[in-house]
Amino acid sequence: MLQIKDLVAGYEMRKKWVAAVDHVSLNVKKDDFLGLAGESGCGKSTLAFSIMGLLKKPGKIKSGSILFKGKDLTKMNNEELRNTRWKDISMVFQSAMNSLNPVMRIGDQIVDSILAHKMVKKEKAYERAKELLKLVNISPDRVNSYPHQLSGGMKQRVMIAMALSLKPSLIIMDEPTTALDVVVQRMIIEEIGEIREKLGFSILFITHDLSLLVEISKKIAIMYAGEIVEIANSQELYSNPLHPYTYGLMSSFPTLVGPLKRSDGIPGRPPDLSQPIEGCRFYDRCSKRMDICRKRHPNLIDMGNNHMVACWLYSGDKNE
Amino acid sequence: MNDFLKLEGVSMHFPIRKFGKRTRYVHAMDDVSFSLKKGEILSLVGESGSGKTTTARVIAKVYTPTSGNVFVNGNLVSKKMHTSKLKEYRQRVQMIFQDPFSSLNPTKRVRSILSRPFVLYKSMSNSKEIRQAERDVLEVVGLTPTDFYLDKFPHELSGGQRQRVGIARAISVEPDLILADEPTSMLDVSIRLSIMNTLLKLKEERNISYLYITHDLAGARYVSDRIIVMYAGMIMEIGPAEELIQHPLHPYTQLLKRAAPSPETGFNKKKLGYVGEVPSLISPPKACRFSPRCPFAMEKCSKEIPPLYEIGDRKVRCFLYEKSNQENVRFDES
Repeated sequence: MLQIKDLVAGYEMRKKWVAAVDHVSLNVKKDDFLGLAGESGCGKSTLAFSIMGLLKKPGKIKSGSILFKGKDLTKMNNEELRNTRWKDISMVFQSAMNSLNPVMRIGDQIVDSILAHKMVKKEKAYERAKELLKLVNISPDRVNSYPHQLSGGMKQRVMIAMALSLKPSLIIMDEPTTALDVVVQRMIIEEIGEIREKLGFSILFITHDLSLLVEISKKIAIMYAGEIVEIANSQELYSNPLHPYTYGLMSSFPTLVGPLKRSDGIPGRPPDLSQPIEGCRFYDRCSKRMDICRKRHPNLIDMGNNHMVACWLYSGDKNE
Repeated sequence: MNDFLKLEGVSMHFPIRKFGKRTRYVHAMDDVSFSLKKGEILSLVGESGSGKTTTARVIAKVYTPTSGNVFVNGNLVSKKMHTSKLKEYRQRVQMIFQDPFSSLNPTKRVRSILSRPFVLYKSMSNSKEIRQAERDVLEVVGLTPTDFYLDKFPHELSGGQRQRVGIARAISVEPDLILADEPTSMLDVSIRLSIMNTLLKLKEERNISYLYITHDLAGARYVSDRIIVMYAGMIMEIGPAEELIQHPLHPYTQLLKRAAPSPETGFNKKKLGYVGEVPSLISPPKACRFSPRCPFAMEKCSKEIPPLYEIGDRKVRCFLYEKSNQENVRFDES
């Protein structure tokens, strides 16, 4: 359904070009639940913004295409984009606290988003708003509440309701639960799962919390320094991480069960993306680096079982 | 007893003013008692609004508690203090903050941020001496080469590096106790562990005690010796870290454990369902604060506040563990 091909997007500074997303290809199929994980600054959000066509100056899509149901989103003009946005693809942003208008009742805000895209009567839109609130476990008489009267979890639910308002076929969720408590986070994620089963839409779920992602999503893509370094089904990725970076991420969250291991996480920090990098971007932090890694850039290769990884450890043609 | 820090029935109520009158109170902390030994790491786990940060602030003397006493090293510290005494106290008890982006002065270089504690608390005036002391603390927290970092402004550093500067600032006065308020929650996953390891290393090398505040149960397990679970301003359970997490007694601790992401326990976990939200702390009823959300709630739970029952070296605030009930309680792990 969504096909991202060789996308290069980034930020144009005075003379520098920061490639936040560098030659990324990604597919989201119908009814897919794709997780995208990586550290801050790895380009996750830039990717999400480019899909939505929200990348503002100095941000820019340099090349590549984003095909949604056969149409290229990067080539659309504003009018066409506005027709697609929210109706077909909607987005839940990182901090719900800042995304809602504090001086507007939440009902009005949901109605606003419906009326902006659809020709319906106001009363009907209100009805739909109430329906949506019910769907996300908020009592419908809350339509007249202001955002400050709601808890953080409820605000996030309102955001999800808003994203659902026009029955889109793809929802991009950019760290929707990071600012929430564990219990609330768990509840909201379960709700998202239930609603998805009920209504049937695809989700692109962006987060830095791999432990959460492994549990909830079907497929996971790991992003590092603007590139996708590994894609696999979540169970496969969890039990058999191939890329040293994925492995590092896996061992850098402490566990609740099993023996306590002291580990050090991943030493170092991501590379500066405004400088051209030859070879593997993870080279400086990698524990298994080889000579070839510094010289040549590894490409994603298929390891079978829908498992793709970009690392020289797994390429046969090392001596080529 | 070698309790370094001791809280006895500490309550903190914040007034809500209506037309200048104090009509109602937010019960941010109610009857909180615990103790902390020298060289121990005690975690305070709970959701937002559970009173974790208030507890740390009461100990740091940012707030004066409504009732109850705080003892540090046997001395009562929760009363008003003379300025000179207060300065001495602040030297012994330091804080590390959650947000490394706003806890460092953005207009000052690391050098000048780190020099303040030496000037204020150690009365150093020789700039060479100060520079050497700064290098030493940066070395301890792993920011090397030190001269490179001394000349940086906070905005030139990554989150993890800033948090290390925060830790360096806290340890520069050689405190006995550090109150760490969610020091890793704003950092990237890949560097959280190394910050935790730095804290552990300091504990081992310098015998510093920590009150480690977090909402992450797994992180608490990683660093701490004992864990306190707080809910809506009250302590719900205290116990040794490993035991508390493997066999949580209080229904709330059980809920927390189930909600925490843990792919190890299998992919087809039992669903949590809708479990309600944290109650309002404005004039709360005389009842177990968890009872509206508790799957095991009994009639008694909505009528009185359960005391902390002692079970071995653990304490739990739940009527399920009342003496008369204790034999027939079989804890089932869901």
